[in-house]
Amino acid sequence: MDSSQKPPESRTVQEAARAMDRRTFLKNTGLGAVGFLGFAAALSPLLELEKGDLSLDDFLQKHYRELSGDELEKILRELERRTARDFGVEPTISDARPVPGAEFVYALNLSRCVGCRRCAHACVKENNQSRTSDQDLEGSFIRVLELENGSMNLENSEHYYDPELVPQEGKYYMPVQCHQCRNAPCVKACPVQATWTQDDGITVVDYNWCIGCRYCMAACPYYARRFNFSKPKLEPQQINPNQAYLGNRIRPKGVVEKCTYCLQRTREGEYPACMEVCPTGARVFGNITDPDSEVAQIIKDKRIYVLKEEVGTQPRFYYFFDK
Amino acid sequence: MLFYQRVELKNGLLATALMVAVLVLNGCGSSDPVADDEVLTAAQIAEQWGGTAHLANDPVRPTGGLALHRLGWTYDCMECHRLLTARWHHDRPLVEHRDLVLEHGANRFCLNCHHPTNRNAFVDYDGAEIAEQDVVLLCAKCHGPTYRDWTRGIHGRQTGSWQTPVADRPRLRCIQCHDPHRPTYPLLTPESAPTYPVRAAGGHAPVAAHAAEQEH
Repeated sequence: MDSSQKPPESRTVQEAARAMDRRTFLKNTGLGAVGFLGFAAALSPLLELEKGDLSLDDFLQKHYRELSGDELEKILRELERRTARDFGVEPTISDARPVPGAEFVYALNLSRCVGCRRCAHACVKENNQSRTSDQDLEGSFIRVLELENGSMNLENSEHYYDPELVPQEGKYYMPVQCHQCRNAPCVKACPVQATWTQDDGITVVDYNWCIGCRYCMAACPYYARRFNFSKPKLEPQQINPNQAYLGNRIRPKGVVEKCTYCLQRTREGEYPACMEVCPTGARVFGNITDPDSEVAQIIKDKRIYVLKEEVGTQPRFYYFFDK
Repeated sequence: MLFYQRVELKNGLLATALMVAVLVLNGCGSSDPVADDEVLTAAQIAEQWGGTAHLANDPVRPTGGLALHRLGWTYDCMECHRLLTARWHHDRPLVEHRDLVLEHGANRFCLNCHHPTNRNAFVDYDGAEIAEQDVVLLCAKCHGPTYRDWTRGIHGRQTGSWQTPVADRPRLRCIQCHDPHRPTYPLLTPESAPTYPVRAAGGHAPVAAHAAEQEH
């Protein structure tokens, strides 16, 4: 066996057993430091434990659908206590469950809507939206679009319209809110399943499970979701004390929220706030599984328009035309 | 024109004299309404309807002419119209009911809706009476599809609960929302608009400035 047959890759014993050189040492140290800092950052919420904003129970809280009745009860009472502490109003936070056998559907008469924005403001008040004044409409789940008569192009719509009187000649108005889709893109986009559709068709968010990545907002074709960039600003007299865990309770900073057809009202048999306040009767709400309900009759008889039908979301929100 | 005004004045005076005569004859207004016949007053009808009716204005709905309600009149329509017979044509200015603006499309005559002999009722196709609380049937004479939708809960505001079957729901009648004489609604003042995002608004300024620089 001569030396020419030795494999070219083999190393000598001295080479293999050489002490760590300076370059390798610095590289490994740097990597280790980055890893440690990353780990510390991931655990940094635990630092809030000391401040009292976050308890160990919060940190270990399970997903809403995995909570037992006792656990949920404890969480609701704790949320009530904290709302009272932070906002000065003692709310009643309920766990409003879907009504068995019901499926909620909204219908909106575009011929009758005058664009007065009463619904959008009622939404803000009902759902405890953060606001700097009573005119602040930023958090509302409803945007009223002004469109040219004969046009369906949303790119030409205007939601900052502010004339003296409405409706303006030659315009029509289209309020847009969550369509509670049967094939909801937001639910599919959520990486942690913090948002899902319940049995009565309402898509809800577990605000304690949401990680605030906002993928759902990007996925929604109706601009129906909002993000809490800061801790809500609410005066005690602005707070609606009738609250629900998945509904209108005051949301923490850094989570996504959305229209729930006022589930704290509708699951108790009432109508949504936006419908109750509508002065023209353009909004119709009901249970689609009841063939005698208003919405069932509308879908049977009227000319229905589904917003962005082509994206295949199959909404539970229908526009219709009717004198 | 002057002649016309004189005629109007004369009519007004005549009507006033007539009213005063009736008042005296009736013994300064009727404190015991509908004692002798079945005619209901507007106030009684309003009470039947739960107090929220079109007619249940408090104080009593003024007629824009003589302030008869101050004299104790109860607005049982037949208090006056027993004597003042119907005029089919709207050919001269009204003395009473001047507050009414009749802008109901081609429907220009009082007696298209009001019964010619019993003014507390409405009139059906065949001249039969439609009771005042059944005003929906009167409107349905022309607005058939709307009436159909109203019975199904599609037309008009809903209140109460979605769980109540539509048939069992208390419904507002047509004229509790619509002014029957002038059905067009006044325009509404919109509530405040969302504010244009400050950053987006500021974003336009540098673009404009940049364009200005390029011009130099």
